[in-house]
Amino acid sequence: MKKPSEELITKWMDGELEGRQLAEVEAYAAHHPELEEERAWLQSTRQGLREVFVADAKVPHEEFFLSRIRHEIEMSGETEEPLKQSSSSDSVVGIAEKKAARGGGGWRRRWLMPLGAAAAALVVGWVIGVQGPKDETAVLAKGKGTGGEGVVYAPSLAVNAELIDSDSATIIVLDGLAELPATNNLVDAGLEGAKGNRVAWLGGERASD
Amino acid sequence: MRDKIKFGGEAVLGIRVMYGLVALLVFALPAFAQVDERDIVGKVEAKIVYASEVLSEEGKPIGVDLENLLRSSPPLNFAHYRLLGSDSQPLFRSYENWLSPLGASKNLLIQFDSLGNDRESVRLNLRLWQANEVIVKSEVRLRKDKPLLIRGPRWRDGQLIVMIELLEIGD
Repeated sequence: MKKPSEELITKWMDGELEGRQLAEVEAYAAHHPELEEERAWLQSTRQGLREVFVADAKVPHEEFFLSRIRHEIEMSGETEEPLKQSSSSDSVVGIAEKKAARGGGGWRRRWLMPLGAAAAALVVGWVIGVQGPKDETAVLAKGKGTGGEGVVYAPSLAVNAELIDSDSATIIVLDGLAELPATNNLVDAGLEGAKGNRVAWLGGERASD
Repeated sequence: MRDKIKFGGEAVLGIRVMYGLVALLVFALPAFAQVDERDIVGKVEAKIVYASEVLSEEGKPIGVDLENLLRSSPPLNFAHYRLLGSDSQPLFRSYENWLSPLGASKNLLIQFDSLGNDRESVRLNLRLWQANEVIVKSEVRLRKDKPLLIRGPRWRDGQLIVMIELLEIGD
């Protein structure tokens, strides 16, 4: 029996086939139990993910997380225009699917990309779950004004961050920060402090980061 | 006696080998560790400005250009400005970079890495640390003629302002 195309197999696994094409692939799969097993595994994984994530749940600080994920995807491979032009409303899975479809690496790869993205989302969700979504009034702001370019995020619930973009400067205004103790002598540290010490403690800072 | 001489010779040889290794570590390894210029995207400077409505003699004058820039930005418009410290560092590609404008103090630190650049600007992933806590994370595009200004924590009678400026950018 002739093997159906990868496109057909992929659609069959997605449950998108009907009629003659469905009959063709099912006839082939009847003689190849590994395909049935794989489809069952994918369906159970998909179902598990559906149970974990509510379809219309809003990710806290969505813009910031999506921008970071988008950046990681861009850095991990080629950066082509269609990916760069993704709007902020694109979902993580949507971006991964676009890239997989563009790469044309076969149905296995097409399946791995959304699952990888879903796994990444699971990790993000877990982190959010552990640390707890801070507040409904997100401390996230996007550039406003002329040519706004940037995203700002304040991890502390007590801090409100605003990004203002003007012709002469990009300004981040932070309100609600803890005041620095008046006894801290910043002047001596900045203009007369021993710069040579900096390397030593920076090493410690990096190690602990 | 003959054994003693032999032992002494081995000891001298061992000491020479040890000194040789130390010399190798001191003089040769730094040569391997030299920075590859291609890894440098540009140069970034950070300044900490103390802004207040009360005249202060602390720090140094900030210069006319920076003062005019701050005065023209409403959230940063104060009567007096003083420069508390500054630091400039190369911006390395694919590396984590740090600026410590307050010298050895950990009161305010800037951590940043490059997300890519063109001939006029660089996109930065930036974190501002206050002591051991990240107080803001941001992704911003920094242009040579357009600095980033952050209105940070209060200190004494005024406000600390962090200015981050792109001094140089590579091709």
